Amino acid sequence: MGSDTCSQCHENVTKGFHTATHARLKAPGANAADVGCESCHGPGSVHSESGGAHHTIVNPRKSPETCFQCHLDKRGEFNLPHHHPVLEGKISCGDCHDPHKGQAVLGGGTAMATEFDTCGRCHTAQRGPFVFEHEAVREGCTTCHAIHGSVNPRMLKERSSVVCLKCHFQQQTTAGRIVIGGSDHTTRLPRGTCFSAGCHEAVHGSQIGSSLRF
Amino acid sequence: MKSSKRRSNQTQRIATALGLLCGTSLIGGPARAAEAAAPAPEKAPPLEKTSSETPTDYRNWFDVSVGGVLLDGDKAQYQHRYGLPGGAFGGVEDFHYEQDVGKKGLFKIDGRGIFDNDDYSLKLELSNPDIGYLRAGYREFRSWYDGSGGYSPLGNRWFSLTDDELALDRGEAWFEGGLTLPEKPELTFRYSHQFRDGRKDSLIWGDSNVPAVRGIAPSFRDIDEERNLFEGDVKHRLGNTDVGVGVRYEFSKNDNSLNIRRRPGEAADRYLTQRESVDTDLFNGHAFTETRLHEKVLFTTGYSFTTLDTDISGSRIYGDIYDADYRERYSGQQQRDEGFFALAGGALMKQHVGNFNLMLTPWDGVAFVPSVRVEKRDQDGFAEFVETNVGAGPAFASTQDELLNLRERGWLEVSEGLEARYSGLTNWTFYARGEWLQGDGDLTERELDVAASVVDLFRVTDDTRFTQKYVAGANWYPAKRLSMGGQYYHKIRNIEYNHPADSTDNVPPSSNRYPAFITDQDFETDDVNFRVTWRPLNNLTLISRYDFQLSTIDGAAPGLAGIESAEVTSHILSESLTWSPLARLYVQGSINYVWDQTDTPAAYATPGTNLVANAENNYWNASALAGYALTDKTDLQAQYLYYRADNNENNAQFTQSYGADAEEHGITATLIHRLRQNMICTLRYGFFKNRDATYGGRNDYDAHLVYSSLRYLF
Repeated sequence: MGSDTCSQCHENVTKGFHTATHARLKAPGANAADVGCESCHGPGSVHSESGGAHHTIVNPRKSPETCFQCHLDKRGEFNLPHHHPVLEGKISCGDCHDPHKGQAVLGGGTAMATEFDTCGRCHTAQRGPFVFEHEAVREGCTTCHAIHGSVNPRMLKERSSVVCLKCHFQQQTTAGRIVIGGSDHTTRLPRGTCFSAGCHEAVHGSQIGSSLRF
Repeated sequence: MKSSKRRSNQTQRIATALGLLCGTSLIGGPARAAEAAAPAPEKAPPLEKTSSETPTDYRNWFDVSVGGVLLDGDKAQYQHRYGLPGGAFGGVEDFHYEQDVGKKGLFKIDGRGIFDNDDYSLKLELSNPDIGYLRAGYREFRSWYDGSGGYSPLGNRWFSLTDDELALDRGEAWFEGGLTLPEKPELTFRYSHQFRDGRKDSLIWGDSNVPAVRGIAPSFRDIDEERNLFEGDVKHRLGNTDVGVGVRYEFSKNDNSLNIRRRPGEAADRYLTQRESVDTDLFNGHAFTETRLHEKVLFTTGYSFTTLDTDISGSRIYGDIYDADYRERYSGQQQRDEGFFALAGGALMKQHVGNFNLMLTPWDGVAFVPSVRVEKRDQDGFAEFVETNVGAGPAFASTQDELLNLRERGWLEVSEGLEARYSGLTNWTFYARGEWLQGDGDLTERELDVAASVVDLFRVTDDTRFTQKYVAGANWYPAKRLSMGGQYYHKIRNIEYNHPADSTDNVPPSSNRYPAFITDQDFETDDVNFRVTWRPLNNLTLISRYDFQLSTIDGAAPGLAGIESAEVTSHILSESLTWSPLARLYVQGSINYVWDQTDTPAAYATPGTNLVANAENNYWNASALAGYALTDKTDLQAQYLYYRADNNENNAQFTQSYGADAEEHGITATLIHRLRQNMICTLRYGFFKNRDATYGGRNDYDAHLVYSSLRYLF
């Protein structure tokens, strides 16, 4: 059918598409002639001929399989034991990504919102502000979380103390010891991960203490 | 002609089956993903055209379903994994009714109600493109959590302290309206009430000291959150400019608690509840413009102002039970049982953000997009509370101190972006993008002992940050059925912390350099991905993708040499296949293999022990789906799912072992039969198996699922 036909009714979407990350897919030439709205939304002739009848066109917001056509790795991640409930239909790719306009990731770069703002729309308990903040949160939730899915609970990138030590490890001056911030942690690390062991529970920020104890 | 029409009808029915399965959400995430491996209409499927009927003749439908799970093993883990209750469930899976109103108006109602899973939704809409719309709705769904703690092979320790079948209900009631009169400003309004209520597990586990201290006792969070949002926007076209302004007001209340049991079954057995209540008021005003200055120039601007005001209260109290009142003496009392009560305080944040973008298309096939963003943010906050502690044994005397914490911070960040695209070469597109961020900030923190008039901590930190990201990529269409895409990016983030004032000595051999013991951090990432989509035959499509990412983190501290504190490497291989070898048969498959490792010098800091192991997050997952059109009215489908992670390094002798070590299998068989032109029934059986060695087999299950549904279109 062609994307020009879609524009007749959906101009509010198509007029901004040239700014979208997905616009990078559109190339001149016969081989790429079919690349357009129907690449994701399916054949549109029935939808067009029916005057836009509902459920005669694919709505990727209702099913992520359209997105998985290219973003295969994300299908794998959403199938992991700990994942955002996209496959369950509770949220959609469109809640965090805009496929039609601007950068595909809603927050970050020169967008109005930051990466953290995107997550904070739903995760208000972690939004703060806290009296003592964890700078890692300001860097973005993806510092510690694999936000599509992970083999680890809470979609952590690493479940062990490595999730903290990857930023907080320092040069060691005493052989056989692990000293962080001047404090010898060698006998504390056996208890478990820094937060899991109950020593630094306030990983997103604390109202109480600067070491994010709780 | 007849054979081609028959083939067309078979294909239509296969699409019907896929469409039904896409709309069937009851079997949960992984199974649903496997069966919906091909894009398909997600609700009303196109019917076989045996008469003059068209796909739009049936505009309404309802689906009813009933199902159940017979489970052997950990019900909580099954419920968490598949989002289904481990028993019977059923109800109205989907309901849709629409009715024309006048010449252009439309009234729609959609609903869903699955009992025993607290999965409900109702949405009403009345719309007319020349007037506007009114919408209202309610939706609620349940997320299941497994309240298990950790398993320690050391002593074969595992605790089941409470009912581990935890659930958290999320919901929203909303109302919105829009006035969209032609040639008039567009007005929209929305009110939303959202809530989260229930219990979920926590990864902050209580400790057990038999035979060595490990944090493995399960804990849970009580969640009670509600939020009210009011939004209003106006948009209008003035000349060649689209203008929009809007406001948003939000007030919310979070009243959550973390509940931990420490040393269960030991002499030091005791309970701990930390409760935090946060009341938030947020106001936001925003505006945007979009101006077509020239056919080759599009200019957009945006501005946003936000204030966020919080009031906090709470406590952290040890006791003989969860949620105990503070007492100086309780069972199991131990030295350094730190807590607090009478927490009061709050924070105020003010933020200004502005950006502008240009879209320049000076020549055919060439586009430039420069953009700038500026953010100014200021925050201040305070918290006062009574800090409690317990001294050494045998007295274990309780102490109380009145403390006051104060904080002020602010920053100014400027971000720039420049993107260039070139599509002047037949069958090629090229793009490149640069992003930069410069930021300056300052932070002042104080901890005061009110009674003693002593400053426990005073810190002033200035931070500067500089981020660069460079992206380059191309898409190539060498043939009608072959496309390739590749992209590389390099990102660097440099952060410097300068501490002009710090009441703690940050230089070695100080044993208390918190909190300001970092002076520099550098993050560097290289990422490349490559994708091929190939359709070698009319009935065969292959998609292959490879992603590679290498990240390093370097840090420095006062008096210490800078080091590389982590190196993260990921290889992701993905493959998908869609094949219809026969008119009646289709096969879909996908496989993902990920090798992901985080290396840290901490893993080598204590030779002879495995105190810190490099983190491995490797996994396989695969799915296969086959469908066969048995007759003109009956389809069969089978699917298989597989997941395997093998990352557990048995260092239980030295610390708690966390690496994922699990294997899952799932298999389903489905029969779809059209009873009448507008009535379709589905029967499904599924078997799901989970084996998880990380938790010592305590989270294992075998689950048999039986499910049936009936769809009626009218």
